[in-house]
Amino acid sequence: MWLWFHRLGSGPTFYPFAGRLAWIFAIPGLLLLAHGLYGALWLAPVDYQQGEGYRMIFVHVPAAWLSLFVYTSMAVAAIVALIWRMKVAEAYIVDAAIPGAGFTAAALITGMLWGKPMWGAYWVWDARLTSELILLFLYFGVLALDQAIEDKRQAARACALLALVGAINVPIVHYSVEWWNTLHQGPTVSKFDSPSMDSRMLIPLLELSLASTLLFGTIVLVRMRATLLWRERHSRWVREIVESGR
Amino acid sequence: MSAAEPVLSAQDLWLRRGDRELFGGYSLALGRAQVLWLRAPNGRGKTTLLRLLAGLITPESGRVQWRGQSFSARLDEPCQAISFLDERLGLSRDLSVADNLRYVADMNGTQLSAVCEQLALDGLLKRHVAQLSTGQKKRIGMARLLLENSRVWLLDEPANGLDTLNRERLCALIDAHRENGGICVFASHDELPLKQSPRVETLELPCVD
Amino acid sequence: MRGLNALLRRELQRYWRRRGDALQAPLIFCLICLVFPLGGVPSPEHLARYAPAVIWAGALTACIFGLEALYRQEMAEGWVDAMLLSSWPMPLVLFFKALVHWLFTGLPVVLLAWPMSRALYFPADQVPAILYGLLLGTPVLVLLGGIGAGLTAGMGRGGLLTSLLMLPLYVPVLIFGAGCGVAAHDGLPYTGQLYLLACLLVAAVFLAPWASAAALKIASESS
Repeated sequence: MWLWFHRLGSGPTFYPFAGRLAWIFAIPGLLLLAHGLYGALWLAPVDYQQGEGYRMIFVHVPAAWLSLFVYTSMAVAAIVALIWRMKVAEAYIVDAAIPGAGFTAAALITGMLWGKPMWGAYWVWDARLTSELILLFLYFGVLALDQAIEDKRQAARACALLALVGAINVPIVHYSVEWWNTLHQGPTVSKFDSPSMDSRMLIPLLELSLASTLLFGTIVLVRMRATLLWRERHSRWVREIVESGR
Repeated sequence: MSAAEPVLSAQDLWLRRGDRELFGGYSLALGRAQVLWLRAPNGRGKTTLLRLLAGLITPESGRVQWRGQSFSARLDEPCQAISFLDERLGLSRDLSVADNLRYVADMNGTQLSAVCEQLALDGLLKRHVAQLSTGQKKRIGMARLLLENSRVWLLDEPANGLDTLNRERLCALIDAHRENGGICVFASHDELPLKQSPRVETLELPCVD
Repeated sequence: MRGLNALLRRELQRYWRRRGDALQAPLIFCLICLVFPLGGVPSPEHLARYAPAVIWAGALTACIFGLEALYRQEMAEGWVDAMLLSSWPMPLVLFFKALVHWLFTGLPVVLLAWPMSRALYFPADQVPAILYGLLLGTPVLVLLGGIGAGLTAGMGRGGLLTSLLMLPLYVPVLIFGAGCGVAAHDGLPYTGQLYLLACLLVAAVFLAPWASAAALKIASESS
């Protein structure tokens, strides 16, 4: 088992594996997405407090969940990349950063759009939004560092270190912002924190979260395949693939 | 003159830099009291090989070993195991020669006075490093090397820009180091007048892909 | 012991030789603190309310100042290579480097914070809250900044990159540090913030040098 995992860390084994895994993620992901959207937009009832506007949470919650999940996975990959120098882990960190940043931005934007009807303002300094903003900066940092270093392997290792340091920081930031917020009478707790949530709202929410996770998996696997092909373009296994026409 | 057990050895080093494969399965072994001349034109990877041997760069595969054990075993030696000297010299240009060398001496527990005598540095001690000529700076670099008191010297183009007198000084140092059982690897595109001819290793890279 | 003395001595000498540059950090701090009233309403209630924030913004800028150049010159001179090869543990060496950097950037800020807070009409009996916060927080800023400086060490001009990288890490320090002053101004106790800052400081002292050393090791992999 361990050996298989170790072999997976190198290009030739990972490339076909990722290709198959991408399909395994994509098909259920798309189906869940379709069903979840249907449930979210048609089946779920109108909220008595917020009207139709609350449906924003169906985008906001999956995006926010993913922004944290992706960063955590980058930190785990960073540990693997730094200790075992696995090329695949190094590729993952940089390739996951853009989708991760995208999800964070989506979470922020939907949070703001939702905030307008809810709290009457686009931006409030509540714990969640502020933490998401800082998370966005963490992602930008990783991307900027990757751009700034020429040698791609060195860039990946530097980004790994940065991701790891940032990951240790995320809970500290979240806690400190929350603490700071409670001292300054932050806005009321958002609706979906309340314990009871109609299952007609909850189920599409879970489906969409799962769907977006799977689709993220697809995106990142496809990107990693491309990255590995480019990075190892001089090695024999890449040449074989190119010659055999995929 | 070759020792039974290699002190510093590299096995199957693989390294790529950008588009070029610099080392494809390169191996090397250095025993006690050996001097190796890395001969190759510029851009062939001399600096990279020296940095690999120093442990400053990690190869993609293959390894460097110290006395047949893992490379980190070199940290168990009583004093610094490996010294690396290139044209950057490892000296702070903001400080005087004396301050720089006293720093190295104190960090390594060695005495400055003996080295000063050996390299005739007394006149230079009060001067600022930034004001020195290339030859003088390189002499201070050699002083740093001596103060670090290490087994293995890795020198990147040490004789570049040196006049005859300083070249002789450099060779005298390398000879003395070898006689004490030390190892020296120097990269240079021309020969150094050493007492005993060094082992020569010519780096030949495969063609650029 | 001799070695640690040598390390400290070298760092102090280097900063002292370039003390003109080193003075820029406290200067920037004063600049930010003094410009603020000019840009707004210079009434006591307004200024005193925001004094902690302004002071901390100035402190942050001062500590970051010159941070990205912290290791760049050392790399260009080959000192980083020499230290990586020496028998001294790199994290220890970098810790002392950060210590001296703080002596020239953070400590002046702490000392200048007293007159600056008074200039912003912050009540005299509450100024210690700001000072203690800075005393505990500015070393954390310097230690964390060292990580960013290490990551960008090999580059030509790290510029704002180092600051961007480290900004998320500075946020908790800022929140708790400025929180001391704000709490004191509101008449509330601020020992909680100080304890949290102390925790961050301890964590930074033990973890940041390791991360900086790892960053420098990565940066020196390109010959």
